[in-house]
Amino acid sequence: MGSGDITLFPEKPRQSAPDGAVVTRMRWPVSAYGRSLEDDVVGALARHFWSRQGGTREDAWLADGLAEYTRARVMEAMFPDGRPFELRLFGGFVPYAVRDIPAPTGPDPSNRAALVLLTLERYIGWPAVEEALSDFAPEWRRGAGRAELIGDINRAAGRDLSWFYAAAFDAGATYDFSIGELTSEATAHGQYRTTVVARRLGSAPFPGTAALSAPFGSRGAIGIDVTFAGGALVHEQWDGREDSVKYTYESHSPAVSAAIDPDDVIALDIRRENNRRDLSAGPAAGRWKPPLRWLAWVQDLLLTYSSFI
Amino acid sequence: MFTLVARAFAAAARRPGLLLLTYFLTLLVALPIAAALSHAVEPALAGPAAPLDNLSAILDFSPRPAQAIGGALAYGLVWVLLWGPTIEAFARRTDRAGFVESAARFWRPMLRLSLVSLAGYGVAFFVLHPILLGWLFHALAGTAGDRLALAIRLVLYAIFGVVLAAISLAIDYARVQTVVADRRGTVDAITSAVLFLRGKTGAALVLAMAAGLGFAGLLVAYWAFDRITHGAPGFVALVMAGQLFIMARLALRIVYIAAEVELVRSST
Repeated sequence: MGSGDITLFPEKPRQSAPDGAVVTRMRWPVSAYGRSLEDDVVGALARHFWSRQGGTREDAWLADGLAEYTRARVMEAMFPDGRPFELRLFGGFVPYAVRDIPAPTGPDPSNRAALVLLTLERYIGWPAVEEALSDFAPEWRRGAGRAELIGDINRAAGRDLSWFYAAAFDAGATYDFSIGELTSEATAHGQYRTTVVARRLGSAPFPGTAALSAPFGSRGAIGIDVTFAGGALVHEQWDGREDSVKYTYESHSPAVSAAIDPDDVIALDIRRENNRRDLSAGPAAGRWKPPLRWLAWVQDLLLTYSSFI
Repeated sequence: MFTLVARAFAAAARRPGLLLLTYFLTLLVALPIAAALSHAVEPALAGPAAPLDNLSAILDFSPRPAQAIGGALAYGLVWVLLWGPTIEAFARRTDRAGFVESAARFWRPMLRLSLVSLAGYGVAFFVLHPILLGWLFHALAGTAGDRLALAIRLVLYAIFGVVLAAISLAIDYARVQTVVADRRGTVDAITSAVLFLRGKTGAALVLAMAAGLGFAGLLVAYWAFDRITHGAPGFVALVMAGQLFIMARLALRIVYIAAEVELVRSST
């Protein structure tokens, strides 16, 4: 992007911005501990980098996604240790950084194009996405669009990802995978029979290939991990084309958990909370931690709101 | 006034059971709600962010989780039972048996006052708030810079706060009049509270402001704890500090009730 100066105006600038300047607006004041200032500046620069005159509605959608993905990538590079979660209180005028809670990382979850790029990054790796975007940026300024981006990504990845684009770029297709069932019961032979049912609740699969019969025994791109009490881990691959898939195991120890997409590859998955099931509740102290974290907030709310009754 | 506040502190200190009871009941109502909310996606706010978030939500009339609102209603009903015996404990120095009897005697008038209170605050939040902090704020601050918009918002918060404080004072002193002067009729209790407040406006306002300052002091102390520990005091210290803050808030409420009773008694 090159280099330049950043000028902060406390209020709206009275003169028009000089040529080549990137102008953005951010809420005043900013927290010393939060990163909203950097976030706003990086976001404005990313939007400027990917902006271009004219184009179709789809180009605008893609530009928005490319800018949001770039903003999130730069912020992660600038702050590898994360950022504190920032509240904006009292009409949004008072920033308050909650330093023991990390801010969510990654792009805005409502920006589908950015999530498509993040899913690709996690599936084919950052070097391939970086190479593809470096090739695409000058093409984009000359008027290229989605088809050229897809071509650049396929070339950089060294494989055909058309199976992914078909659903990923379809706004009506939803990604939602879950562990629907997990049971682990003792059998008469002193063993355990474990049943895991993974479900596709959305309309989009994640097969890893366009071919209906997968070559060389590959079975899809969705990872499923089943962990047993003895520490053993079984890894499965599923394509998500059927509504569900069932796995059954006989083992010496019972299963303790099952997780679908455990590495969080599919950033487009709209609900992460149903991606895992645990049979063991974990240590007692761990079970009490989340409610105890909420306790003072709830008590304070009760005291504050009950003054109206 | 200092003597009155000192007497209120002494009266509250003689009844540590009141603080323990109200703390226990607060914990009892809060725990299941906290357990339900722990499955939520939103991050749990601990430390001084929690009271600031709640205060901001009140002034901005922001939505809260349904479980929390339901819990606040249930907790309000708990206080319907507690108002009578708490006030009577300071007015007539009743014992433990008298506490239960007092709850049975006063829960009906206290419930009626709570319903009047809800109606008053309902008008304030559903009618006045959208006018003041919605329409008027946007009309005045729509094209203003952030600094001016903040100043406008602070003025509008102050106006809205005065209305909330007026309702709170009328209902608080109506509760005290219900017990101290045995005015169990709702209209009778509110009328005598308003008459009392007209005669003792200065003293009642100073007392309310002292309670407000006490709350502000607690927030500052909690915030200082957060700064000293750099926002990461460790889980046990975080929970303990939260519980100390809640106990201090309850103690402040109890002392304020005792002071209101002292003020009414000193005027009769």
